[in-house]
Amino acid sequence: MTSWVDVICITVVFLSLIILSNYRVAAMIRIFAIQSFVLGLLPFFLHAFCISNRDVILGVVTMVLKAVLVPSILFWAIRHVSMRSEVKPIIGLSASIILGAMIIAGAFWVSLSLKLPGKPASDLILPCSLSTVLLGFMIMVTRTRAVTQVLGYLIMENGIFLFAVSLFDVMPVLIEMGILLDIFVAVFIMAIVVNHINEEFEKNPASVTFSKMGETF
Amino acid sequence: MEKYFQSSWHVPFGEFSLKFDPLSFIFLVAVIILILCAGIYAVGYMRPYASKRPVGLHIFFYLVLSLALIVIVLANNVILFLGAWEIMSVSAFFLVVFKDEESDVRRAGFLYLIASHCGTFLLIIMFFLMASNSGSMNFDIISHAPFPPVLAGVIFLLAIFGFGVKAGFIPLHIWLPHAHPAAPSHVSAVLSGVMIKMGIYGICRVLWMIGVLPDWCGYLLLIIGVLCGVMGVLYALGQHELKRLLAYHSIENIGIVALGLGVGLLGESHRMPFLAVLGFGGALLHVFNHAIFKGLLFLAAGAVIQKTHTGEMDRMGGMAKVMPLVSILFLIGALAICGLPLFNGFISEFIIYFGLFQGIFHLPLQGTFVCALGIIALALMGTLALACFSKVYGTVFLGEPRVPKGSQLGERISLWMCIPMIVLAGFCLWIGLFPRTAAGIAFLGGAFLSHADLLELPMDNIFSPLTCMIGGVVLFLALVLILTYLRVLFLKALPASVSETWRCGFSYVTPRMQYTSSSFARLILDFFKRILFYKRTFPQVKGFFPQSASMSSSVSDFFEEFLFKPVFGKLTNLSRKLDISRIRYTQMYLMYIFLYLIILLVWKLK
Repeated sequence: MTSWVDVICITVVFLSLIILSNYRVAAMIRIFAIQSFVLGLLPFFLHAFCISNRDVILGVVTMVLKAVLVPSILFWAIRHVSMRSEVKPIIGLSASIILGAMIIAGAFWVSLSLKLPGKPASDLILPCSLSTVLLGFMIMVTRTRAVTQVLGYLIMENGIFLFAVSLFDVMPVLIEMGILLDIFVAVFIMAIVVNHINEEFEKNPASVTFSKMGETF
Repeated sequence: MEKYFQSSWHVPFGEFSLKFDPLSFIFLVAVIILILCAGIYAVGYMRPYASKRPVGLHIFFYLVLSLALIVIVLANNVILFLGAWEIMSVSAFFLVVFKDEESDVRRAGFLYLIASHCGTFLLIIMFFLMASNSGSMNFDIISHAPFPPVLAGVIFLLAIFGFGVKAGFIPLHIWLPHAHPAAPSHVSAVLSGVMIKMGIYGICRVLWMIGVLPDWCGYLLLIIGVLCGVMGVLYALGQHELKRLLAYHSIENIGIVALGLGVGLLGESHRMPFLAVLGFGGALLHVFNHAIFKGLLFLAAGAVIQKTHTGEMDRMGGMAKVMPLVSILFLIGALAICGLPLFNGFISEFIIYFGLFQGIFHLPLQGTFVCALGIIALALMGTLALACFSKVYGTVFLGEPRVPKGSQLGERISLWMCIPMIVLAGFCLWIGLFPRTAAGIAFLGGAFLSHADLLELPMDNIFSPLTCMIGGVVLFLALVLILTYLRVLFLKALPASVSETWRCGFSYVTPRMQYTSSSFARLILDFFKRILFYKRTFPQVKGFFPQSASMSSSVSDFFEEFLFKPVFGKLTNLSRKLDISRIRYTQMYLMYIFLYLIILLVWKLK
């Protein structure tokens, strides 16, 4: 079953790279949903032929939460906020892909020399989770919208999930659930906040100054 | 005479360790006297603002500043010292920007804050160099460790620049003439009287810790002293604003102190303890004296400004008739700052003169040359200061009021403001007439600084001419008084006719025709116009019925106008070009974190 785990890992990295090279918000959210779905499959393949209750719960909850609920909240948020569906990243798309590729290569190189306490289910897990985290960070850096920030954050979390779920069997399911719940709540709050920001700035004619926010002088 | 106080303080490398020694004693006395006097003065001075401004906040920062000053002079640990130093800088900033609605005041405040932080930056480097040399943050332990000559030189230079910003050494003085006039008068008094002396204290403390320095350090300090003193008093002559003028005089006096320290250093590096004690002692006594008379002058200037609602000297005049007590007190301060006998400024300048003459006779050739230069500069400073204060006293206190008749003068100067000034003037006279106590304490500090034994040195060599001189001057004054009294007595019988001064045939004379401060100083400024960039603009008066015309003169501070402004203008432009405002700020910061993470990851792998 290791080959299936490998496939999932590669898919996750590949999907993050696609999100990085995309500028349509709706498409980004969809790809994120697919990525989360694929991640949700991971617990089923982890322990060869003995699938425990814990794995089933974890997989199903992940899929429901990240592949269905979170994307639908994000869709709700962008539908209610009158924003353009296309968001140009700060760095051009091709440059982003090249940078992303470099980051993946760097992650593989770094993970060569990282020592882990246990034996992971697959050799690819460590580099893939590392590159997913870094790619998520890249998305946060290069995009300017609040929704894309959240997406980058969620992708980072996916990377951490990949790392945590497959590396250690010892992590109690309760903590996993707690983390998932946290993410759900965070996304929910974000949607509400984005909505409120939108309302405030529609009321306020001074929205021109928004682009200058953060500049103190 | 050393006492310690230890307490637990959970700060890395820090310990709450206070030490009391002769050096801190002199500064501590100056700080406490001036803080108390200016604080009492503030009660009267701030009364008009009581209902309009947050005076409570102002007093709070005043008290914080007082505490920080006291901790600085007693601190025995690097961290404690730097902490108190920063608290002093920041609280002084809040005191300076009391009238924060005026843009000049805000600008002065920020200039001060930036300058003082640049200085602190150098100080941190300096202290860490010292600490790494000795392996401890404790001043005592640092002072016991031997310093290699190169390191000692580097530390000395860092101290000169770092503490020099606070003290107002001349290329670094630019914040001083802005901050002093911007602040309320009692704050200017504390700023000028003791806060800039903290720079001197820091230099002294570093000198004490390093021990013997190479002799170029002494020459450097002497040259700095000459430059500061002469340029400071020349710039002061060209000012039209009372407190700005006094601020430039602080630079002059810091120059005198630096001269003394330079003499002391030369004595120490050439193993002449008498010279070292003379130099250091003179410098320390001048620090104390300057705190007293400059405090007095600023407080008196504050009283005048409160009365006239302006700091421009050319709008004052005739204040001696309006406020006789303040004018006498100001006169005492002015005589003291000019270094005239019977007042305290004379004593310390005499000691420094004495040291310079000793240096001429006993130092090698280059020392003789520099000491001679110092004597000439000190004499020049004294003369120019005398000219400058005749200008101030003449335009502000003598003559007729220049303001139009019937314009409103401020209310009476309250007793709260008078008593501190009287106390300070009393100190001026006490030290001037009976210098033995104060000078003895200063020599104790000098001996402590130069690690010499005071008992083995012929200190009476200096006291005997000093007492002779004071006695002579007192006798001369008594003679003049007796003669004046006799003249009055004998001429009583002959009634003298009282009439107005001859008006040169001009029938319509107004108070505006009096000598102004600009015209008084013009002769001297014209003489030095090449180095002062002295400019006068006046229109040609033509025709039989000339139109109204106006004349103005200005002196440009070379270091501010031609050194700092161009350099900082270039820097601002450069940083504007480097500013990538196209990227949103959140993303910028995220990127910094991202890069940092990657660097950490890669670094951890090595």
